[in-house]
Amino acid sequence: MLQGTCIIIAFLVIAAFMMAKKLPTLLALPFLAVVICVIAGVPAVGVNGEGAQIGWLSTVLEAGTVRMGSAIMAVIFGAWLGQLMNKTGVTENIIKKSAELGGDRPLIVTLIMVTAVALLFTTLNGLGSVIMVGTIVLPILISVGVPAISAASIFLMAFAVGLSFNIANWTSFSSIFGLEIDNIKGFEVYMLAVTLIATIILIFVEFKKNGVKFAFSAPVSDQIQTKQLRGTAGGLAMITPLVPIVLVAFLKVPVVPSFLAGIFWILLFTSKSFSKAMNLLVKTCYDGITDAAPAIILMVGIGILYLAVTHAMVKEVLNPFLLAVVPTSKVGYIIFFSILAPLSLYRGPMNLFGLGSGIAALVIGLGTLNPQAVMGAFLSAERIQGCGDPTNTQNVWTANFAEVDVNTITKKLLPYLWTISVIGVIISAFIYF
Amino acid sequence: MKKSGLQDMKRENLRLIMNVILEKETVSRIELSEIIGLSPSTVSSLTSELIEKGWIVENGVTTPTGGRKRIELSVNSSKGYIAILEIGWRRAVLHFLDLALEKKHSVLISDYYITGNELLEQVTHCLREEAENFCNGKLAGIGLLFQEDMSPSDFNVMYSTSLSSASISFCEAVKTQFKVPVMEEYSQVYSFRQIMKKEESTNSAHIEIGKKVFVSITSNGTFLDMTEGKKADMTPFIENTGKKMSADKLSEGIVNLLQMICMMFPIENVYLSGRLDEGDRLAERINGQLKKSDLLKHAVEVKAIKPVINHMETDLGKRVLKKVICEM
Repeated sequence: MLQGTCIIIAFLVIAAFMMAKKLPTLLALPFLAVVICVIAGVPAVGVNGEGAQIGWLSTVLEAGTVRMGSAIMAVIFGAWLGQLMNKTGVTENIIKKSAELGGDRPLIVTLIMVTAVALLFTTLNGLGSVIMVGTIVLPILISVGVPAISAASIFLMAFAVGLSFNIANWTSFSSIFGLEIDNIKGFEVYMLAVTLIATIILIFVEFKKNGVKFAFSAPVSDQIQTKQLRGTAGGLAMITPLVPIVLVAFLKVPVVPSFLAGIFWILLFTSKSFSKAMNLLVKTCYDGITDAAPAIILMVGIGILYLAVTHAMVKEVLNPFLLAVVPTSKVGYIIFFSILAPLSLYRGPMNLFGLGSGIAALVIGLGTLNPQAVMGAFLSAERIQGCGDPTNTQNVWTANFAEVDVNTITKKLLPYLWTISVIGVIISAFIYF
Repeated sequence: MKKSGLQDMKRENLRLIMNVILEKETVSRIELSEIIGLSPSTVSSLTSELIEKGWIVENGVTTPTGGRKRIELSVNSSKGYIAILEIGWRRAVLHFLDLALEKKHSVLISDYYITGNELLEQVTHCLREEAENFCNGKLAGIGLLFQEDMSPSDFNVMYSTSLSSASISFCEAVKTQFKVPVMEEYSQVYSFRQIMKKEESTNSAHIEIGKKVFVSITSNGTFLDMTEGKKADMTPFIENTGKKMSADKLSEGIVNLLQMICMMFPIENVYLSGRLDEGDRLAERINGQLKKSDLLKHAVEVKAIKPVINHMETDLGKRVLKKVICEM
């Protein structure tokens, strides 16, 4: 009992340090993992009766670094494809052609921009891509008369819509919950639909509130810097983001080969010569890895924490506590996770890219809840974190670029995001209980 | 389908006029009308708008033409300014140019290597606190001029919210900070471009030897995209460049590198520049070794050159201004 209490206190202290911005997440997760092991009495080095390693140095720290290996690879290959989309002008062309389709109708322009941004972020990842897309989309939205705060909020919601179908993220979730990608997809389809509806509602509410009725056209100029993609090849290049999704979601192709197919596809329809294509391939690979670096190191920490909390000796200590807290009834589950969803903010305990990964593993390990129900609860909470957390780099950058307060964006989006989470938890309760 | 409204057409015409004035420096309305192909009345109306917005001025020079006076138009130098940040290993200097592309002032940002975050902080301070002392108007655009063997990734900026962080390029960070058009250029590419203008070589390689060894390639007069923008870091092919190397070892390394490059690209001329004590003798030695090589299927001539760095800031400033006009 004492050990369990100490672990919970350690959890709370480290969470507090993270939320107080005293400890970066990439350090906090492995540190917490070691603290948990030490409190639970896991030896640093040791073997069990059968001669297998049980010490935390090898089973947690060493093994944890590669625990999320497949997810890390998915992020790298996704970032590589994302970089190719940015460098070949596909990203820019998708946005600009979309803006042209909208003409001079603010609502249509906004809806089309949301679709384009969502489509792009099914593949793109990282702050570099957010900047690439945001620097084009935000001025377009603002120029058609959407107030800056509304434009920033709509842009982030569109980003969250795309994120729900980001297959690199699916692989991460698959590793965290120990479920097949199909299971993740099965639930993310609902999240995509709910987030999209919420985004459309947000747009209508903002337009009505601000009386957006300006009707001059968006400034879509053929700037000298833009690489123009024309003709059939250009059109085919612009459907690149759909290639990996179709392969993974509909044809059941594994994630990395699907990204490779996307890479091949975009090179095929944008390259002018073999040598140029090869140069671009190498450069975008290196840049993609740089883009993915924060996610990679975070996943190393998540893997270490995961193995710490699922260590047999730690589970033995923590299970009695969790059994007392985690609900087992459908109604209890809905109330419990609906109320706790905002704890995904500020890298809180419901955040899958923070302490939440460890907690999710612990709850699944209890065996009292269906792992898919745990996934549903955490993926619902992830909606709030994805675009509502004022500590996300994409939120801070968007707020900075649109010259609005980042906390104002969170306040504006929280009612929508919390509603999405509650609906997600309810859907999860009905399909997985 | 593109929907070009009247607004778009007008914006495009305004850009055309600005570009002609920028190229010609001073030009009359009637000349503008002839060059662009718009009616004199349209040109007159558009130039009036540009004068009203402060982009151009009637510079007072009048030329009598058959009894009528012609008023010359030029870019309003005091409308704003362009900042060109020259970034090298040992120093970073911020140059201020007015919109007539005249250098007004230079500020030494640092005389030692500093990280991207420190550089951004100091540039921000300089542009926000000091620029008004020697420039009129608002910041219109920024040019980043990376020197010699610099790579933009050496100045990546850590964008941190304490709980989350991401590494972004210096260019992206500057765009975010100032929200003006930003252009990147490499002094190597710039000086190589100058050489190409003189030499009229269309398939060539440029090897810059310094702390690192960078190679740029042009094919049919166009720079190829490489791993570091328009250049590639080939340091591993020439060992130990950080230390002083013997001429023999250096030429041997360059020959190996050239053999590999020439197998992939139809290179005719190779230009060497950078930290070379006796560039011509090195080129001669390499030419001798290449002639003996049976790996080369065509003749390649190696020359040592000194980079042309005059007016680099002005040249980049002009390109930044064109981008500003493009986005106005």
